[in-house]
Amino acid sequence: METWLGWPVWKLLGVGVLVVGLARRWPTGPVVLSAGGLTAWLAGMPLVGHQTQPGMLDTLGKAFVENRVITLYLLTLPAVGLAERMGLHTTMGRLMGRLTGVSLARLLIGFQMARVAMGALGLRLQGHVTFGRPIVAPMATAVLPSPAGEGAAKAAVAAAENYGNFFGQNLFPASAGCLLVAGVMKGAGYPVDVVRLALYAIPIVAVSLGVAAVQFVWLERQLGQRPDETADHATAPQDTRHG
Amino acid sequence: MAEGTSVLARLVGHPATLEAAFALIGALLWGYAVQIACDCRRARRMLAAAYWFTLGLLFGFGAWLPHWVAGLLVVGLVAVEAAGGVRTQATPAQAIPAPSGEISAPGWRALWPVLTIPTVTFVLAGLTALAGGEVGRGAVVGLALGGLVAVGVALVVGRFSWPTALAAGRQLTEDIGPLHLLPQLLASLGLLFTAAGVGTLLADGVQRIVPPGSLPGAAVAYFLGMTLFTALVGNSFAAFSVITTGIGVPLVVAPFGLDPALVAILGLTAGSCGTLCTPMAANFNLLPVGLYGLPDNYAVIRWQWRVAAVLWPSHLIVLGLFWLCR
Repeated sequence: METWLGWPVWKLLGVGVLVVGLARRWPTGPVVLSAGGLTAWLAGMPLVGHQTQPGMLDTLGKAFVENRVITLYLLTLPAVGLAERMGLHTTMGRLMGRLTGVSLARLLIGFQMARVAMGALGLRLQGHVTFGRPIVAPMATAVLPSPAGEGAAKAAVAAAENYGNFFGQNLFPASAGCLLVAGVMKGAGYPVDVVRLALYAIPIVAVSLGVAAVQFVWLERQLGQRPDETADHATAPQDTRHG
Repeated sequence: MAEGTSVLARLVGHPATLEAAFALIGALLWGYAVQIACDCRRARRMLAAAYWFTLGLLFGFGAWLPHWVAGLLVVGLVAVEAAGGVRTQATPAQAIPAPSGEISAPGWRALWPVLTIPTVTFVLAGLTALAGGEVGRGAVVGLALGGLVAVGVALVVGRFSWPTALAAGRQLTEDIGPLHLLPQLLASLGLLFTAAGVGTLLADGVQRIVPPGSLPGAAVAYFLGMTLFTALVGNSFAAFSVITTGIGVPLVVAPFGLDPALVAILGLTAGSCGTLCTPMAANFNLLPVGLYGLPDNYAVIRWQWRVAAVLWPSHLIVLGLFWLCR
């Protein structure tokens, strides 16, 4: 009985709860919390910890408070909301109407390259909030031939931000990623140079730019090729480009 | 001059600067809570107001609360979410959007606040770097300052009132809703998984399966381990130390004499392929869903997994090319 309960694979039950819950699209917060609670319980963690052992609530509260910086973007939302009330989307539409030769694919590729360049300079910021929602997403929807593809175009903007951010940041030798890798490798007895790490990151950055470019061009073709078909499903008929 | 900039570096690096930004967020969330509580047209407004009030408390006073109290408050927030207290669908009054009515003459001035945010961020990050401070820290403080300055710009340029600014921010914040909590929740879940030994379990299992002496087998095991564990904890940084010390170093670096820097950085980006595919990376993959107003929770992941699927095998190719050119 004891050995059966001590079987280490039981710890994976929390992972199972998480996978099933997210796959069934149950509300994410409760799913994550119950997965965490189950894992903590199976690992023998107390609810409230003491000096020798951290508890489940302590870990939760500590992680939440220490990671507040992730949610710092809340301070920028009033400004973005006000800009939208001033007609940001219409303005972006007019801007894109004036810029000839800017297609959806070029916009997305350019955005990703800009984020890679920023990463190489060591600037890490919540690009979804600073650029994605207020600047690039309105530009992307403005160049669409019909509003039917808006969701896909916005999702592609989010993807371009992530591709550029994830892979670009490794090009900066003093980035959190490179420093972490150097620290772990030193601890394992294989000290590495952070500049070398940044140089070895180049091939994957190049591949990510190429693969993403193919995807963006494909999306542009998809959205551009059948404007008549998709126009029927359009909910908001006005096209901001001509507005 | 030189003295002035080093003061800036110290100011940006000081912990009180970030605490002040968090206190401001707390005040902002309390403002939202008051607005919601006063909006009589809303259903279940007190529950929603309590939600944003508690979140504001966590932001403003999180550093002073005992960790277990903060944890208890987080559990309370999730309970309100489970009860459907913060769903914006529950508030039909919000369905009438203010924006379209207020655009009398759309002009370039709408761009000003939006461009202010990155400009201030970059300027402060650049100045911090020049002053010998940490660029990343400068960017973070710059983002907070940029948000504040941008509100000022918008208030002046658009001749809005304070309550309008609060309402505009609240609408966006409520659109994103409980997704705000998720990155922090998932960070703690990652800690719990690691504390429970899920990562070492994975590494042990993989070590048993891989045939000894095969570089392709070992590389696949390491990269796959990184991708899978990153997908589980939502963060390649958290997965890196566990999987690299468990699989990467003993199976790939030690026996084959490959450049440890190459193997390690490829391991980290193999983890990023996992980040692209998982809802656990909430601030990258789920937050945009709320922020951009996408209809499907997994719209961003649906888009990214294809690129990740091509990128992942190219890690093996890059490693193989370096092995051949050695």
